[in-house]
Amino acid sequence: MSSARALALLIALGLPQPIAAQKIRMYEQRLDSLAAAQRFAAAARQAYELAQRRDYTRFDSVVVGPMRIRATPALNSLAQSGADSVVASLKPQYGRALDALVGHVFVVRDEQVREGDRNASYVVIAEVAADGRELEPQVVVPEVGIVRNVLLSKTLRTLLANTDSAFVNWLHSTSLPSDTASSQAWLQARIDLLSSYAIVSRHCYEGDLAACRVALGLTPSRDPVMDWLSAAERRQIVHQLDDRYWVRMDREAARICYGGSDSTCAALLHASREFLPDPIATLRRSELFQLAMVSGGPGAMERALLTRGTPEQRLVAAARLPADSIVRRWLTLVRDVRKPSEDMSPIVAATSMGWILFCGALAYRSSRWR
Amino acid sequence: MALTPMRWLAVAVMLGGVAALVILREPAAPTRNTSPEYQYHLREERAAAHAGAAAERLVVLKLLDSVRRANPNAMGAPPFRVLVSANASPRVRLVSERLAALLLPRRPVTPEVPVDLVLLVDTATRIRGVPLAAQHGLLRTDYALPTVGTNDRCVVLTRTKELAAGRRYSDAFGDLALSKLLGPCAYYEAFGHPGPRIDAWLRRHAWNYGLSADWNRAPTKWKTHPWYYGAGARLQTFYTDDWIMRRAITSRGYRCAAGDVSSCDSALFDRRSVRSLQSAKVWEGDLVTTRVAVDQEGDRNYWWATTAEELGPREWELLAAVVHDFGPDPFRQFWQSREEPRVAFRAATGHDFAEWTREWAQRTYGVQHRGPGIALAGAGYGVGVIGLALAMVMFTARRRSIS
Repeated sequence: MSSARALALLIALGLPQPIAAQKIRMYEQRLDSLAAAQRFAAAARQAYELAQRRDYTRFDSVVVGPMRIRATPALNSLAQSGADSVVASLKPQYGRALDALVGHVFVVRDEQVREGDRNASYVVIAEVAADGRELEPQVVVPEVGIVRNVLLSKTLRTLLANTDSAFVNWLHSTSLPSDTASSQAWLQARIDLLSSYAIVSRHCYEGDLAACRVALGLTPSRDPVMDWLSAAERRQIVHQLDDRYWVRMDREAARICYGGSDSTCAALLHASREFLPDPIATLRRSELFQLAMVSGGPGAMERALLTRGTPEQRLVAAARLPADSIVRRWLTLVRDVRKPSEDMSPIVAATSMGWILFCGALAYRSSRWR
Repeated sequence: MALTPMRWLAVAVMLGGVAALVILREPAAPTRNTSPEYQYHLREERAAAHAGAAAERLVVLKLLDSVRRANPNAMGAPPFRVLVSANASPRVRLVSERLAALLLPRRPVTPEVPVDLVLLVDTATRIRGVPLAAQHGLLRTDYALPTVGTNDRCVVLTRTKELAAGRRYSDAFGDLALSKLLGPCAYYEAFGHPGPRIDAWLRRHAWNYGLSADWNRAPTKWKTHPWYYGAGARLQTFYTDDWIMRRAITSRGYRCAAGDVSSCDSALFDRRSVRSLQSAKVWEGDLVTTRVAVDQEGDRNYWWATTAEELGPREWELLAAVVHDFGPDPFRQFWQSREEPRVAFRAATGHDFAEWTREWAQRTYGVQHRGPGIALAGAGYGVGVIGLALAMVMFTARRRSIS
């Protein structure tokens, strides 16, 4: 019997399996071919990005201290102004630590972007990798202030990347601070401490320096589940995680946890450690260094970056104070800094009234209708 | 310098000229990112989207194949079965029992086509190395329509997920989910196989109009949801309903609701391929897939949709409204007719399909205004503001003498 006749007989018998199998095979082949097309498209993009390694030999070199920039001739002065400003602003605090920039090259080049029916000129700023690729290029309008800010941000990012991974992981930031913290930052830190899900943060606010060190990550915690949280918080966090569809949790164990078994709650949280957020935002750690800039005076960040050691040792070197003293000052600022009310002030009200009266007077200047 | 009437008029004329320039100016061509980097990323994204869609279809085919192998249409099988996958937890089994209890009393006494509602928990995250999209909503359905001339069952392939403790499956039992769960299969069950031309029309695009099987309930008027403006209902006062409507319906559908019968006709029979939120698509000849879970589609979805629906956010219950308005027997006559849909509708109901659709659209969305005119509410606001300004002027100028 030929296969066609066999197939016809199977259809007549109402057995759909061979047809389904054929369809499935066809779809499998189609999926394989589309997946291959997707891999091809990804490879093409990567190849294109590699091909974009530009020939910078025709670019001008801008050297400002340790900072090296390749710029298109038209943007030379823009790059020079930006680099001058960046180096001048960072030198007092970062000093010799800026020498780490010597091994890095930034590029400032122009790019035409089609906007409707016209071309607009923008500036691309990036760090150039060893293989010639432009890393994290940023496209901005050609204004000195903006170019300077982007160069500053890339410089601080590069300086941070040159430190050790333990420090980078602890700071949990893409950049280093360039200035002291604003009063808004201390207010936000106060809210962070008081509204944290973890009891360790509230203990910190109450004045427990050891708790502050744990909350800030200066004292590494071997068991955050037990160190950060109370039993009630552990149960609450299990409930919150249980509600998140992307967390795979042992539902039976969760029920036992809700029933009051703290050890089960702790075991569940140990298994889901990666979903446990830090007690307070890691941004607070940058504020410690901003405080160290004030305490340590000029060269604080230079000492921080050139010191080899733990984050705490870097902090101590920067501030020239014991770690507990810095944490105590930090806590004092968090608790005490107040900001003037932003409610309507008499001056604002009077100014508004003045404008209303001014407009009214103008209206009365209008001639009568005749 | 005194602001004499002539000077006021001169300023007004100048401002009018500026306004005219702004309004009549040719709109600039939209900005498009034509950079090669973007094009490469775009190609990669599109390739991933195609692969993802093919992966999704392969999953449906495999699931359907295994369901059919495990549950053949044996002689004497009940006309409506609720089947649950072996890997379902006791909770999901309870969901299936509850769904069966809710749906069974609504089944027709003499079904034309038997239906299987299959409930399964799909835990696969990849297929042949291609990642599968996460399922949003509780009940994701695909429909396997029966082949003409066979005793196939219509299969509602419903994928659900295990919910965390404390979260409830109540959305699965709501009116919205129940009215849409059986989707096209409910029409086969109640009215049998459609006539060949009706079938062709449905497969072309019209299943978008036949996703609700709740024809016993009178269709309600569509309402907008003010809380989508984020800042609360107070903002709703600035958006009159007709403007919100324009976001949720294509311009052709809007013209239909505004009384243009020819637009209703072309929306019914010449529907453009709009990638709407629900987008019932027929593939492999007998599989109907919609884009979002049946428990997620509601009146509010116009807000999330990137494109408007051809006949508005309630188009999915248009055929159910036909059944409700004319009764099951005329609809069966229309459904099984061998004529093309326009002729079949008129023969079965005595009405013009497009004319009835205009009436349905106006009943569902309210009578809309055509052209650049403003709605009564908008005119009211304007007159109110002008009146307030006049009152203020009268109050401040009441003592001023006219020389």
